[in-house]
Amino acid sequence: MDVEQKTEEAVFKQAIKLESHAERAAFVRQACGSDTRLLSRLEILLQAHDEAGDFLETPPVDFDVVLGNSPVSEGPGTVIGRYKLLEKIGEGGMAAVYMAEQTEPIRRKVALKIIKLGMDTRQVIARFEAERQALALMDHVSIAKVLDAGATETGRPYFVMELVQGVSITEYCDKNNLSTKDRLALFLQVCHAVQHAHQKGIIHRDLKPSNVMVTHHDGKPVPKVIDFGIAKATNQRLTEKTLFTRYAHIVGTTAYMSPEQAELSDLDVDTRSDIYSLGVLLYELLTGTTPFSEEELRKAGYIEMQRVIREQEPIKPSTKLSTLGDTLTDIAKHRGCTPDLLRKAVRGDLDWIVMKSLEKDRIRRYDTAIHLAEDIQRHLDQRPVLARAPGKAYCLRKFLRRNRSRVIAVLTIMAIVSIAVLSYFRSQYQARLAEAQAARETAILSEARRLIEKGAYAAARQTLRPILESTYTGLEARVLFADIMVDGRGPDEAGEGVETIMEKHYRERVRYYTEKIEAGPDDANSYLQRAQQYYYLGREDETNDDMRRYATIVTKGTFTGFRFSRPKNLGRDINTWTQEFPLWLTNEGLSLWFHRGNMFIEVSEGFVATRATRNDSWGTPVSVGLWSDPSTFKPVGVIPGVTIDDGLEMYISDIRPGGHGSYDIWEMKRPAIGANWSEPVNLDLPVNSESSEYRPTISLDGLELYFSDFPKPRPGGWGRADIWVTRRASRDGTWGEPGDLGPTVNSASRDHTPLISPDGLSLYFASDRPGGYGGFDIWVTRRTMASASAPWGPPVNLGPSVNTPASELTQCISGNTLCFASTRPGGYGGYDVWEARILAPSSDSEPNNSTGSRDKAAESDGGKEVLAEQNN
Amino acid sequence: MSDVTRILNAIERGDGDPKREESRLGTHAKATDELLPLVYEELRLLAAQKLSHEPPGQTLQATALVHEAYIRLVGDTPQSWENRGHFFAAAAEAMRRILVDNARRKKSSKHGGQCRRVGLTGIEPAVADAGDGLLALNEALQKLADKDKAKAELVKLRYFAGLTLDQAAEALGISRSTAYEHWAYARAWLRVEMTKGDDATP
Repeated sequence: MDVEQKTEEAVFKQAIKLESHAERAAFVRQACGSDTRLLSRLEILLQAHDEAGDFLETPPVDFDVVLGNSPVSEGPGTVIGRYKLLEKIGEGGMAAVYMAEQTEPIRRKVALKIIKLGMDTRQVIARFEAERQALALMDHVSIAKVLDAGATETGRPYFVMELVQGVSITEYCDKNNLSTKDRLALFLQVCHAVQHAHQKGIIHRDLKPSNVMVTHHDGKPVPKVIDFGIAKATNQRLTEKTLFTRYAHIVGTTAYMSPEQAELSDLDVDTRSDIYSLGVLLYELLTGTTPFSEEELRKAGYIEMQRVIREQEPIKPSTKLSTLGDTLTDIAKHRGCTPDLLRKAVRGDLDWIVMKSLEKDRIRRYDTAIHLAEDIQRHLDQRPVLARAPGKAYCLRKFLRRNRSRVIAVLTIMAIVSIAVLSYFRSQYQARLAEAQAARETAILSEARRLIEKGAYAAARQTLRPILESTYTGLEARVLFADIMVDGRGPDEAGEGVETIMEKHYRERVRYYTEKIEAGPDDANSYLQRAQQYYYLGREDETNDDMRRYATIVTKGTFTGFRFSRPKNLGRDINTWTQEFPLWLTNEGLSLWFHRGNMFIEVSEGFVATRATRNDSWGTPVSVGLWSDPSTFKPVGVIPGVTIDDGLEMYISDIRPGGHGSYDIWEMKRPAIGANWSEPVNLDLPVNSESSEYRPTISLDGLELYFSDFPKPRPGGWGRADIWVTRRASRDGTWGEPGDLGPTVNSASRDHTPLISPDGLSLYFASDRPGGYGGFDIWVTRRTMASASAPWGPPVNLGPSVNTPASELTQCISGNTLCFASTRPGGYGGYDVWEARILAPSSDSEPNNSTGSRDKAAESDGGKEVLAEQNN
Repeated sequence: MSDVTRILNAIERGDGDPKREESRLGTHAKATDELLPLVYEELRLLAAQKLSHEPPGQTLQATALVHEAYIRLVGDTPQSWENRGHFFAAAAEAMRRILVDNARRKKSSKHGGQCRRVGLTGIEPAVADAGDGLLALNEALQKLADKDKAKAELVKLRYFAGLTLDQAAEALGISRSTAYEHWAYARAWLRVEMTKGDDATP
């Protein structure tokens, strides 16, 4: 802060203390002396101060909660980056294509392709950027340039391409009844374009008629291959992930997909995959149909479709023509000839050329597009084609004709043997490959884990990227990746909507644990983990199912036997967006006291709700005043305790002045019910200490006072917070030295908010110890007699229905109703008050399996009866 | 959930001399760095959850969201005022970023010629012109922070985390009267700064 500002500030602060404007002005003038700059600055500031009104006093803008899926809002007129959409010129399963106008740096019309499906936009663009330089090197009359890529406002990737106004090559040929020869001439140009791209290191990966357009240039038809670089960027590959979501869209292009692309495994795709697709395109140009029709593939289902592409040899084009029946006439007509002539034209050379392009094993396909083109050229020039190896073929044909039956028999046996041998070696080879691949990827995974531990999240993400889609480690990698997204992502990196990221994350984890469960159905932890993910996804039923399975496994059927009705939220009258906590239910169960707000916000206000009988619902809560000290705005921090049965004594924990530090226990008395409570009196040493004495709960006989040393542990405890007890001999006696309940009850985790049941036989408390369902859970320990001499048993978790992956905190008990605070879904925000009826602490092992009759019995029973049953 | 409390406890233990303003701000900055990702994520998650639970048309107050995040991340673990201050400093910063991001996005989408848009987070400022005002405020606030960090922090706590003046004073370890003076000055300063901007770009 500079001197000038200091002076300015000092004068300003003095000035605003002066009430009248005249006084103020005089003061400022005097203070500034000859410094006119300071004077004018102060005048402006003071004016701003006067006019400030509620400037910055009201909270910032509300969030408008907009529901529903992101509508596809692009359309003509929309401006995306430097481009203005003019009209839609095409739409497919994956993308919509618009004609758009670019305004700068030059005015021109372009094609803008917006990817529809929910892809990782950043990844798509990153992949595109990686290939951008190579794409820029392509310069071929038959290649439409890809100019730009980016993300729309709705976060979807788009690509900008040279605008090609034309129709697909197949459509063009049929419309113009192009002869086979003319078709081949056009196809040759396509081969040259693809060759050019291959030389620049670009593989198309998605060659199909709709990506080969024909436009007119100087009166001559010119094919234009579009979408170079886009398939790679959008990674349109068959993976397990895309399989289910994009099945319908994929099938459309599978007809042109090479066997290696159709494989689920991430075998590298190379230029020969494009050769295969060119082969399919040629097949279609010649016969009007693809080797495997789309319909056929779609009907086959996914696995079969994969098998067909991988294994089934296609029928030769000329043979295919013969199978077409009536449609053949039509197809021939589009080629300006008769069916017979067409068959004849295709039979021989062209059959061979097509079949060589469609070889399943890419080693046997043409090496390059130019080789394919040269062979077609040879055919057009009436020269022998390479695909055919004429001499030998001729001999073979002759030989076959002479010894047809014997040859067939021998060949069949040979074929069977060789196929068997080959496939054996092939599978061996593949297994070894897979092993090596898996080992490599496992190494990558451990490297990524190491980086995560070091906190090098960005590097870890980079490391994981190559294996995200892998069949071996992909799932694990994706889970790890999602973890980084959630745990290690700097806020500034947050480009994608958090709900998408989180949802993806949770879904990945559900999948991950589902796989683990499938591998080991007794893996309790996986059920618990999956429940947690379901919980985050808001899928309550699945959450409960998994928790029940978890409970069944860990308790091996020896469940606590406590059964509760399905917890009920006390409703909007009581619960609000803030927290309702802590609360206190009087023993007769007719008044509910609680804090609203949290101990932090100024609205920390006490409320009381009442009801006429236990079966009624709660009336609207009435404020009983602020529970914080208005002079200091410090929360008073009253945590109500349980009154003794006669209602004349109450114990609270409070951090009010006069205590021993942190929370202390205070006692309040009143002469009669309805009379005012006395000022709280500190219980003093030895009960209170410099540590915390928090949430006292007193037994009905008034002789035992339980509390927890939360949040500041007392010396001599077992864990981060323990349950303690102090006793006195009689109602008039003094409280003794508190004792820790010991390791049977307390854990190394936090155990707090104890609550003793009216019968003195059950002690409920909240704990985040292992074995729970997440967050704080409510646990209960029991003893056989309501006496100091009876030890508390090992605590058991109250189990699902009461406990959830969210936090549950013990609150109060009245009769057969347990009230607790919970952050579970279905509430109104923060901790809400929930209640569940204790149906029975039965000995049967089925948790949360309340039968109708039991329910009814419990309903008609008073709390006393149920609790009496508890005694047996 | 325990992460936030763990960080808070660690900071509390390692805190040097909280009485001195500089040291308090320094600890705030450190705490903010550590807490920010957690709080930020939680705030956005909360907003997203609201998105899925609330009927359309409901509004969520930014500061209410901050308080809810506090409840969820710190739970009912009683915290010292100091620690609450750390938390809310981080939350105010997180909320500032979220709101500013949204306002920016909204602005750019306006320039993109679209009238209705679902932001990446699905949350949008409801008040049409609030976005621009927010961006201007953010800019001015940045300038104030460069000159006088403590006052900018106070404004952030008040405005983005919804603390009362007294709470903010507590959080910053300054007296109520000092807080009031700071507040009055910062508010006037920001107003002047923001009107200046208006004049420059008519």
